[in-house]
Amino acid sequence: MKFHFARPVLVLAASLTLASCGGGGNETYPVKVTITNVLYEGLVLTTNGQEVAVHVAPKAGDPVVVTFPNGLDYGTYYNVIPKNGTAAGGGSQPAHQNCSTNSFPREYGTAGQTASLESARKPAIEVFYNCVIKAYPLSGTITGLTSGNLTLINGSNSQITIAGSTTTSPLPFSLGSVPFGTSFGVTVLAQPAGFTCTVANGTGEMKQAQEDAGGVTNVAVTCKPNS
Amino acid sequence: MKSSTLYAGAVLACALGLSACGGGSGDLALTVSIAGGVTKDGLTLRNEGNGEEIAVPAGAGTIVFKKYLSTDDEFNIVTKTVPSNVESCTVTNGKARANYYTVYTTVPSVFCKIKTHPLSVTVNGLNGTGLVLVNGSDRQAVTPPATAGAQVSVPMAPIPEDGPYGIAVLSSPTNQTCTINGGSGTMTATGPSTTPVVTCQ
Repeated sequence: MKFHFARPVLVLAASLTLASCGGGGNETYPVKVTITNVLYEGLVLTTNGQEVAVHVAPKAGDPVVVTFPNGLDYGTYYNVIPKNGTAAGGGSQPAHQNCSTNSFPREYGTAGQTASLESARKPAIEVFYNCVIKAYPLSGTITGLTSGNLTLINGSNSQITIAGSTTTSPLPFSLGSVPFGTSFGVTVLAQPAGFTCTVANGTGEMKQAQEDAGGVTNVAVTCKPNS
Repeated sequence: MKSSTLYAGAVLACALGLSACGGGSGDLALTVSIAGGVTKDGLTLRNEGNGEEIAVPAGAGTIVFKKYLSTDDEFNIVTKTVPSNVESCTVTNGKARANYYTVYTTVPSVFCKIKTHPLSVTVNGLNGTGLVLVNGSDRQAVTPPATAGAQVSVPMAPIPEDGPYGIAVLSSPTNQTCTINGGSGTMTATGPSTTPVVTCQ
């Protein structure tokens, strides 16, 4: 309540002493965005026909704060999203990353409707985005597994058990997605009864070529009956 | 003021020996969110407020105490026992007087930290540079020993108890080929179930 009384008084005071007031025009609301975990270049945010490029912090991953060039007039609708993307991501994103927001304060609203903590001195619109490293599939096929259960792992990261089949070959399998820049190594944790299975194309890194290919999908497991 | 008066009244009623007391008569279901991957049975939570205990089965994401709470009942959730592979559990938002906010908005949660154990790989015959071993996302470059071919012990990142590990060669040393024996196994309470050995020649 106090705040609401104080504001008109300030405006009144300002209009009575025009010469001493900087600006003199309408009060505008700067749009300030805090982005966490930016590790690569490429993110462009837009709102109200303005664009701002987000660069990696001197210490990669530290929060980055950007402010759009022009403030918004009271009552103007804003919607801060990645260029050609949505609040869920997409569009102009950092390489190997996806930045999104789904928390309060929301990325959209009306200037002056919500205000940041520092609004008593300097009204601002605040929006928050967070970026995560994209992960890509690690999958392949198993041939020759006609019975028993085969357990495959990617180190200590993920695990899957596939039951043999007399009707389906090759058998598809998929381990947990692997983040960009991370290594993987598919090995057999438990051999199926009566078979010995070996893994080919199971070790590598999720790099640019793998990202461009949409992941690693050619891990080949071959099972042969024990003689 | 009003609520503390009511509370005092309730205590008095209980002291007078009314059978309906005991925290079972309210309508707030005390729910606890379980985080940190409880992979085994053995976690027991206790609400010190009314003495109720509940066992959390392996893999559970949430658990609900059976006794409902009334507004203003005090609850205080503690871990009574933890699974054998858990180092410790932390309770967040576990102590308050029950109301819609403390029960449903700031949901009490339990985070359990799984024990980890060291895993090292023995490398024999190494004389070239460039060997990199991986256990999934964990990557360790191996420098050749001062004396070519001498045995090297390569520490990998610690492995969670009861969790699997699988060592693979990400890149081979110059002019050598390496094979692995016993590279995949499970970390037990007393150590790895296999002895991973890499032989380069």
